[in-house]
Amino acid sequence: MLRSLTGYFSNDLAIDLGTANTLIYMRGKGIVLDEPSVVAIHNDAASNKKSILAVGLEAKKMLGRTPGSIQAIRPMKDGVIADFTVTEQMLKQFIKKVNPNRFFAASPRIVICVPCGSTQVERRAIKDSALAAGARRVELIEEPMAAAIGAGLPVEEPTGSMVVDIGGGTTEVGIISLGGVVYSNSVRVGGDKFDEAIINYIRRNYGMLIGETTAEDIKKEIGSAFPGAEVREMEVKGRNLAEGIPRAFTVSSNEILEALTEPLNQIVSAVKIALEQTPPELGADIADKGMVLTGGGALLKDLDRLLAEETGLPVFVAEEPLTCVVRGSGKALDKMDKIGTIFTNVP
Amino acid sequence: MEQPAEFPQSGVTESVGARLKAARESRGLSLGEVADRLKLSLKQLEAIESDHFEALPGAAFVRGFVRNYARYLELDVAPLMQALDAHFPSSVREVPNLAHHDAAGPSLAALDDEAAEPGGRKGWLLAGAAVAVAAALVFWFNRGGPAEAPAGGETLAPMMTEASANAAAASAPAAAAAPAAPVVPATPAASAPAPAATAAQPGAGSLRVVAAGDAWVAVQDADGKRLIYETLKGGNEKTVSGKPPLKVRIGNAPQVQIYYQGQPVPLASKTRGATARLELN
Repeated sequence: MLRSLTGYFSNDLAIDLGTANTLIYMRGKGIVLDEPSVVAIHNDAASNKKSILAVGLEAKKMLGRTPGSIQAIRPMKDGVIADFTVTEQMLKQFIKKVNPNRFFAASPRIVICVPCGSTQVERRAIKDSALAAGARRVELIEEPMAAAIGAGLPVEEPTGSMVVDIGGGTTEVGIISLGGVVYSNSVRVGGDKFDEAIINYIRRNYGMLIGETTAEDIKKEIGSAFPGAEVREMEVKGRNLAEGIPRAFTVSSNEILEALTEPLNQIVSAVKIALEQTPPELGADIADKGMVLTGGGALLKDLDRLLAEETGLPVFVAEEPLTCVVRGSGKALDKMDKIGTIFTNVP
Repeated sequence: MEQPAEFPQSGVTESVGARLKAARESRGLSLGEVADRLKLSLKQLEAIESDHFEALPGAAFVRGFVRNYARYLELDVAPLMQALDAHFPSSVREVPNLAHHDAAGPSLAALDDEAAEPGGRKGWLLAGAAVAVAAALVFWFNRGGPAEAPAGGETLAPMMTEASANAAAASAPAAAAAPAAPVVPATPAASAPAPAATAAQPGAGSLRVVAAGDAWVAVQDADGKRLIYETLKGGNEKTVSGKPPLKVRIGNAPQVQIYYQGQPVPLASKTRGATARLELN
């Protein structure tokens, strides 16, 4: 009775504070927010005051298209906080958005995930910014653990499960058994690095400058990680560096594959290093079950194929890879009172 | 572990393994070639093709391996996943995604609208009104008062972004219809019309409950008579009729799809945790 009563008032949240997107799970409801981690700030020249103009989807549309008085910022970089105050403001706005009920606005308990490669200082920063955004208590969970729970892997059983979470800023490789992370490794390569590689490739080979949004579109449309049977083409518009005039040109999927080779190799080597470091018993489990890909990067065409060919292990993409981490954090939040071991500590 | 090889609710005669096997043979591929490509062992592939899924490490892996296999054979993945739902439910279903189909679609349009006419103030008022209406409805609903069917769209309003709330308020009928998309994909049998037997009783509400997995279902009619009060086994369905309004309670709601007067009723908006409560008039 008391449980259901406290459950009614409780608005505990699980947050996947990602470099590209922030997702929020509310206990008893589900995923209630899924927006880009972008903040637009208006800088009033007269009074020299800064105010938040927009967050999320609205702010993302402004990226790269702002006049001098407006700044569109992505406050997260490589999976960790790059701009502390802006991140705090963004979290505040998002929490307000999912929680418009002012009457029972008891400050929530929040589970928030951190990259396993983040330093204690970076974790502390994430924890503090969630506290400043109005949390009563903050628990941190490592991303590979959250991703594995979200993908439905048997994390609490005495068997090794391997998960590769490719986010916007980082790629996390984790090997999990008995509710704990046995080995984890994080490389600062993700969707953003893919975009960057495409921009650089096109500048080098075409003498054309394209924006981040265009690069992202190219990646989603014709990007792939493994040579496929068909070659797809896409028309792209950018600024010609020599003439200084916007021009349209055509790129093919083979070229984009070539552009992505370098960041993809870094992911492959991170996976291989993880497999080398895995204790033999768990390695045997993984040879049987293979690895699971989660995160937005897993949507890159044929990435599972690339990793399967490189490692010789079965690889599959989790269902709804984009929401895996937040669903996993949400499940951890639901079980928060029963199990404590899956959370990581900050001194 | 339940018996494999039976997927009665899918409405398809062939089992998942048999369909994969047939597709492989029609392409002239040997098991060894498939094993080499998918990096699975021959034992695992044989287990998949003979529907001995319990030999595989768990639901997530069964679904993942079958999906990869089907993709390699260029089969349509969705019906196979649906057939697996009964015994190996997707973990995705356990957490309803409210942001996905509410915020993503309408708010994009709303942003464009706002760019066209700079009436930000009005938008705020509308959003406020929508939130107030939703709060009142939620309060009423929790006190046991009757909840109207179209309330589904509005009770979601607090979870929407400000922009999508604008859209909800501005183009009421369109936005109310958008979140009504059911979370559970309709089974192939869903398109069949409601059984004729129920049509005999004039003025009575006919309700069909289709369970993809085991689910507790309770249905009461206006006189308080219990029409259903039991656990429906996965793959079963039940049709009842009684005097409306019908009070419906469903545990494990993500696994259940209901049809009232032949029309599918979205449960997502009525679901708290895994339990759906609603009233049908």
